[in-house]
Amino acid sequence: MKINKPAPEKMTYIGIVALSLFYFSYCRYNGQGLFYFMDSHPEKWSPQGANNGFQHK
Amino acid sequence: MRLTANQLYRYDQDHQCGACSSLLSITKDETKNLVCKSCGTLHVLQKSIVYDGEFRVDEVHKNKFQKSNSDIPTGTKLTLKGNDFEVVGVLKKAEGNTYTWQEYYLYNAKVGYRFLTEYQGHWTFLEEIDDKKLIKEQSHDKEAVYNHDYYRLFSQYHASIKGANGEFPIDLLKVPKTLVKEYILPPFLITSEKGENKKHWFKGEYLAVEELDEALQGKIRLPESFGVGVLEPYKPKIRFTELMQISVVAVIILLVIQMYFTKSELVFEKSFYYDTVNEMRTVGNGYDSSKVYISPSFQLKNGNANVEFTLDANVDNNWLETDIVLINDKTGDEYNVSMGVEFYSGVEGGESWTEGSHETDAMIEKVPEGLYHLEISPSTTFPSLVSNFSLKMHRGVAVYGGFIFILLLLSIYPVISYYQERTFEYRRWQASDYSPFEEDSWLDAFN
Repeated sequence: MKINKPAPEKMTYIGIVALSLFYFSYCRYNGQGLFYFMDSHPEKWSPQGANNGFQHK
Repeated sequence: MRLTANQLYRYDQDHQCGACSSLLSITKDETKNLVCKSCGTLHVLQKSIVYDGEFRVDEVHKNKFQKSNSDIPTGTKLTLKGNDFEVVGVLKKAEGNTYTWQEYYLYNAKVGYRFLTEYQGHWTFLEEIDDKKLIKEQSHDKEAVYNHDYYRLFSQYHASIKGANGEFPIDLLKVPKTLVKEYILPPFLITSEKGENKKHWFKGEYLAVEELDEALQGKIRLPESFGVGVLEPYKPKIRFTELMQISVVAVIILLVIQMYFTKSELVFEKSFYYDTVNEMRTVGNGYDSSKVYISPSFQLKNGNANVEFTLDANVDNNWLETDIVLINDKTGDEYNVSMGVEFYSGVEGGESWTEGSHETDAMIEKVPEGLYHLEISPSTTFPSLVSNFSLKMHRGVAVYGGFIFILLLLSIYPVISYYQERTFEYRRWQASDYSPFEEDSWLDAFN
């Protein structure tokens, strides 16, 4: 029986679309924007030492 | 036997050209014209209706046609569409001085004649349509219907013969008087040839050069194709319709994700008045002192989500700055954001003007769930004017920037694909006087 395999380009495109949707849902799930990793965020200070510049009063 | 006019000959004899005495072979009873491949002399033949196995030479036109060097010589055998053919004749035709192409007459004893045409390295395989009832020509809108499919008029012309050799079942002298109309529905075409008193219809299909190469078993080097063939099918890596199907599904999923994670909830709201501000705790001393409002604790739910603060202040020719600290009661993690509003108005030169706004907002992304409280420190030029403002805090606010960005991202390839397809069709129709595209089409830019 002959099986028609989709073109590799089509599979690649579907893969890219799926990846985009996955990243979008990941960001939405985390409550962050798509460019969170490169945004300058409001300062967060943590007593455990995770200080990115904010001086606690 | 040398062929001369008004003489009878037997098919099974050897024949010589009436002009140059080259040996000629007449292999088909249907042959009406015979052209010598050495000198281009045309012999007009007629099968004898009196004597079986004999034919008569009606006319001999010495050196009528130029010698034609075809890519596939006469006598070549090939297997196409399941039938064995022999190339019996080749014509080099032209329309004006612009276009020249080659027509090959193929013969198989069982199925009769078939035809191959070649233009710019693009090949078409044709056969005559016997059942003309299937054809309906609609000259008013330049269309023809064949077998319920609509074909669009691509060209109509009178062709001239620039070169010929071999046997032909037609009268070559009548070719220039024949009106040819070509209708296309790539990769198919139908074409009509209207002579003085008869009209023939042919149907054709684009023949990939690989298929022809296989039919010739790779023995003949075929010309390289260039440009877009009249019947060349558009073969993108992914078809535009497939891209659209994928895109529609992706957009639906995108919408579902966007809606599912958008559960905006008001978690804190507080209006501040003159009295409220006065009752705030004072921290620091002297110039560094400021009023701080410490909110009751409230719960943030649903894992990680953003929070949005909206500050609305009754400022008038004044400004208000607010430092907000969101503090996790359990871990002590703090998120700090500063917000300010300013609003100025006046009259200058008889015209009133305003600047600034009473409202502003700020967002903190990726705030984990937990018990939190707020520390709000408002400040202004005059402490007494820090009054009458409100602060709201929403969690899980819809953000459309990312949604629109992904939407644009997903539309890039379909848009490019659409333009590529349109450009391909535009280039196909550039050779036609009946192009559905406007002459100064914007698609020219992509050509």
